Amino acid sequence: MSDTALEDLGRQYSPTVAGLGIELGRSPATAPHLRSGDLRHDEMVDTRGTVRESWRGVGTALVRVGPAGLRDRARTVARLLADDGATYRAPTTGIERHWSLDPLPMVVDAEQWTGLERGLVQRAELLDHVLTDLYGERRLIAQGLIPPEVVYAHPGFVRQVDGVRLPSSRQLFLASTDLARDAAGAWRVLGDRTQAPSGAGYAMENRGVLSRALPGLYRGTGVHRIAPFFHTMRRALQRLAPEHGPARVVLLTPGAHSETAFDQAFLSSLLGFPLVEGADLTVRDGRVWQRSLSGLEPVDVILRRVDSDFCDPLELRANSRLGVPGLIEASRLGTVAVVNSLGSGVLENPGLFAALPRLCRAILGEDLRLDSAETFWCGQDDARRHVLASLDRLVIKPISRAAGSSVLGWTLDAAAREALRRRIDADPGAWVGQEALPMSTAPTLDGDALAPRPVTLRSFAVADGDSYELMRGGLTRVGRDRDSVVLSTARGAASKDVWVLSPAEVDPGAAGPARLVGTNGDDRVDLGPETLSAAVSPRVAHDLYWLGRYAERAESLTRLLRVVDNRWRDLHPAPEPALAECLVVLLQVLTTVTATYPGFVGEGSTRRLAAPEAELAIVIGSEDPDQDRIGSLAYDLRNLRQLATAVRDQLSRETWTVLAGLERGLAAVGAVGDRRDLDVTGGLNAIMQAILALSGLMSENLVHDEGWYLLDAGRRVERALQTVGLLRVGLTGAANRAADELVTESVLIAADSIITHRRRYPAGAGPGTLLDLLLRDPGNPRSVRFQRRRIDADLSAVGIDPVAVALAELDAALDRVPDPGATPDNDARATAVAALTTVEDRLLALHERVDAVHFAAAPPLQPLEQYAAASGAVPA
Amino acid sequence: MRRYAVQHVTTYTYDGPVTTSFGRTHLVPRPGPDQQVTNVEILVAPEPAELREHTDYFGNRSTYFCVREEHHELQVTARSEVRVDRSRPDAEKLAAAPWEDERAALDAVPTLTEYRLTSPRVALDTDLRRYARDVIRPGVSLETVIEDLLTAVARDFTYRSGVTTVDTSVAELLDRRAGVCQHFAHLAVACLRSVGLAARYVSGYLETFPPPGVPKLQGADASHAWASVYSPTLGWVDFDPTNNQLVDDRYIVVATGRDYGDVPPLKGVIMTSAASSELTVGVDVTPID
Repeated sequence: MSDTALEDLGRQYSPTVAGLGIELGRSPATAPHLRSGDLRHDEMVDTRGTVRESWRGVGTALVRVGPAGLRDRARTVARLLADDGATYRAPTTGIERHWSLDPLPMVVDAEQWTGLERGLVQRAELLDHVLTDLYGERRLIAQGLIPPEVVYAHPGFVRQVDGVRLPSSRQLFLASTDLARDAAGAWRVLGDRTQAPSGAGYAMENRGVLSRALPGLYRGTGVHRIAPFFHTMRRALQRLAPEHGPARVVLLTPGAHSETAFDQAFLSSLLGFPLVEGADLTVRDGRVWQRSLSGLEPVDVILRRVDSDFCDPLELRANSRLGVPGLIEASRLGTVAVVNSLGSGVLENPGLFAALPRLCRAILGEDLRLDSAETFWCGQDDARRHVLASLDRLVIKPISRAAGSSVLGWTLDAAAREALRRRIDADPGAWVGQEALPMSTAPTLDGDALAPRPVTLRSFAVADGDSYELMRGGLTRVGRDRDSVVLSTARGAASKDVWVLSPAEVDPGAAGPARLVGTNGDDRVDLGPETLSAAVSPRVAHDLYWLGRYAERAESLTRLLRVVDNRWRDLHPAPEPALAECLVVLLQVLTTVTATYPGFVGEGSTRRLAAPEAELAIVIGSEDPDQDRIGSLAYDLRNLRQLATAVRDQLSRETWTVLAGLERGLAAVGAVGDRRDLDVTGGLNAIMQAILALSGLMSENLVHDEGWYLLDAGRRVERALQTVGLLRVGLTGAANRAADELVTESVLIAADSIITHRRRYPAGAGPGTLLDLLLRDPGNPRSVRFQRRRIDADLSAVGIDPVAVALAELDAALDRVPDPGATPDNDARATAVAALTTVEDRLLALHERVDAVHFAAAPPLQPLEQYAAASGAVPA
Repeated sequence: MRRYAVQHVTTYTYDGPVTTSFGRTHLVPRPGPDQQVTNVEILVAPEPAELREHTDYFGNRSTYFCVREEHHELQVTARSEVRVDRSRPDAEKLAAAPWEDERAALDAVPTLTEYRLTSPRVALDTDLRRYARDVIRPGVSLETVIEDLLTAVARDFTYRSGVTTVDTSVAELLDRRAGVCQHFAHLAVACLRSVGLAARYVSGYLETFPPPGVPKLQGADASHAWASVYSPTLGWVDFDPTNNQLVDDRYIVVATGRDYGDVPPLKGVIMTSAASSELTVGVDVTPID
């Protein structure tokens, strides 16, 4: 690569950077930090437009691949993210969308990083001292080093955990900080994340995806690995266990509907610790236990992603459904270590910023290394006056994130500004004003072009013994516009992988032993040996069981749809009456087995049967999840995905690639809509392939533990139900003999047994052969008898006694299905169909029994009614 | 000096089975220089699987319990004997300086700031501030401030049970002008905080007497609440806005906090599908000779 090419890149890119500083008059008001006319710092090019030394690798690669190549990489990145099921749920709308990653990394050179690392470790140590003091002696308040109101009025100060200590010299376990650069290029702190910092999982996902999408560049650049951070975190969590021996660590999640559910589940699998919800835990005998199918397992350490306030409905928010009553009591007893410790949210407090330099000198005896963006706490009169006089230039923040989000003063009209002024005046201590940093820009793919976009950096530190280890990387958020000021994922900011360069002379591979486990390109997390049995909670067992049922249901429906599609396509060139009658039977079956009424039965069905396209499109599903009819293929697949999301930590990573394939297949058939020339064959085939891959993963890539047995039981129950449904159709048949044969054949195709049938019964099909192959044959993996055996094996593994009666009744019903004989009359057929209906009832009864025995949720938690002090008597 | 035997019984009856009850109580009188507490007993029925006590953030005795036996009724009984040795505050010291001077001295004690701010049940909105401004006159002593507050509550508010709930706010009380001791205590605390003084909420008991000639009924007393204001010379000075008087040795302090929410006698969560419950509370404060 010639230097000329790099110079060209710099020249082409830099004018757009220069343009940033001088653009004026954007509505509703121009951000003050862009008004000055100063150049903003750009990460890639210096003020002369020369590509910086640390970016030469990325710059060279940019030149080499060119705009088209970069777009290809962006598509690869998007596809890999979809394959991993990497998502984020917007907090306001609740809509889950794909995680967004720019294909260009954020590069930080070694020298710069060293400075940042020192500053961030110092900050973590300082905040740790503050946290320890606030829930202990509170001398920093008594000595006047921290304004008392900043703590006492902060909703994150949890008095109930006063005196609770972790068995560690550090009380602040995870410390994250959001940073941005000022005009001079110096990194400054925007805010701290100490409640339950999110994003480390996303950072690892970004690294995995980018190292696969840009393998050559990644390998050639000499980037620090971030996997060691997770090893340290895993080890540090285990060391928090109050007792020696293998520690049971769990990750407490608010659930699959949480904004950062992916981040949590991915972190849980990186660490090798199970993901649990509050309802999976219980406190008894002064300690925390995880519910499992086989009893209670003690829990030693809880890494929480639930905010403190929601963690214990006994002591904090009584109506919280996310917590564990008694958790604070157990923490106080020291039988469980909760990190970040309850109450650590008090440090997410920009009201503390102004006090930090003095605190740092008083506590650590050194100067604070990292400045924050200049921040004025309104609890002090001078600062408040300044903020009120400068509302149009500052970012106004409540000191507690729980109280609301930041307001950009310059975007407010006069009335809104006045309203804000009144709110600040009413409770000044609850507010700060923060200068708007210009923030640096980094090259970002915007449509077809490279554009400078503002960036922030989130760092991740974990307490490791007496000090902190910083992830040598992080999470960068990128503004959508060049004058974005608040870069939050919730507001739609994309992300970047952060590449911290290792010093040139050091081979990055030498930093640690090469590890061969994991799938993140060069940057891997070795999980190490598992020492504890996997406890499966009733909630997880329930979701796995239904995952099995929906996977099977989707498969059966896809097979049936393929048969219908096949007959439908045959009918066009050759409109035979028998074929038409067979199609009518199949369409009606489609409606009854999926319960997608009205479908092809009841009032108006003649019309819909005559032109089935619209109704068929509905059974497959629309593109809009809200429009999905219950029972449609799209509905089944969306349920499948939701259940997989809820038990993500139980599944292999490839599962998400397969689910992404399902989604693409569904998009292919869904896009067809209700056009007259309904062509879904290709899409259904793609879906079928993905479902088969999923079946393979389920049987070959999951450890056969209690959870797996229930997953398999779910599949078997569903397949038995589906086969019985098909058998009923086959036995009912059609009036016309030729049509009847076609129906029987269709049933055998849908039940994936046509080839065996042809081989075994050369004389042709009839009700007897159908029952023989699909009901009784113990060797046919599609037969009801086969499912019955597997159910037995599955349920034996999790305790069969409670369902023994239900199984015996199923057996009796199976035995009572008569053979209608070689040439049955209608009565004999009807008798067999009625007996099959009983089999179906028994299967459903078995399902209900399994549900009651294994998935029994604890009764709901309710707060006790409280009573007022109500004495009014006047003493004598 | 007076001695009392205190019994406080709380009973919940449910219309369905409860599998587990978790509870936290502030039912044991807190020890202090002016009261000694002995023979403490906390009885939970059914028999709790766990029962533990600790001293909370505010220095109160707090009990955690957990009942795991299925039950339709939960009863929590707290008994103790209390020797109260409390004299009325030194009026001379209380009258020595204007309250604004006392307020200025509070700044030297940052930890008291806790009691000078709003708290979850003590909001300081415009109406409250206006009311407090009318009651608390500039330049008077802390003694007069207390007196004026007592007089104002007696004049402006009616004691009436059943018109308010445990969650009634100070603003609602100002609107309705009627309530029970808990709300009057919150109001007094709010008024004091609104002018920058340090004030806290006190939960406890007060010995009561039936009308002449009527025998005192079992459980006829109730849990009581009053307010306390901090004097840099005297420390906390308790007064009872409900009964228009300073607190003396007929009062038993159970717990103190920023407001009721820090020190409810009993709170809990239960595991049940029961739709409704019935609550009865009985308190007996019996003098021991």
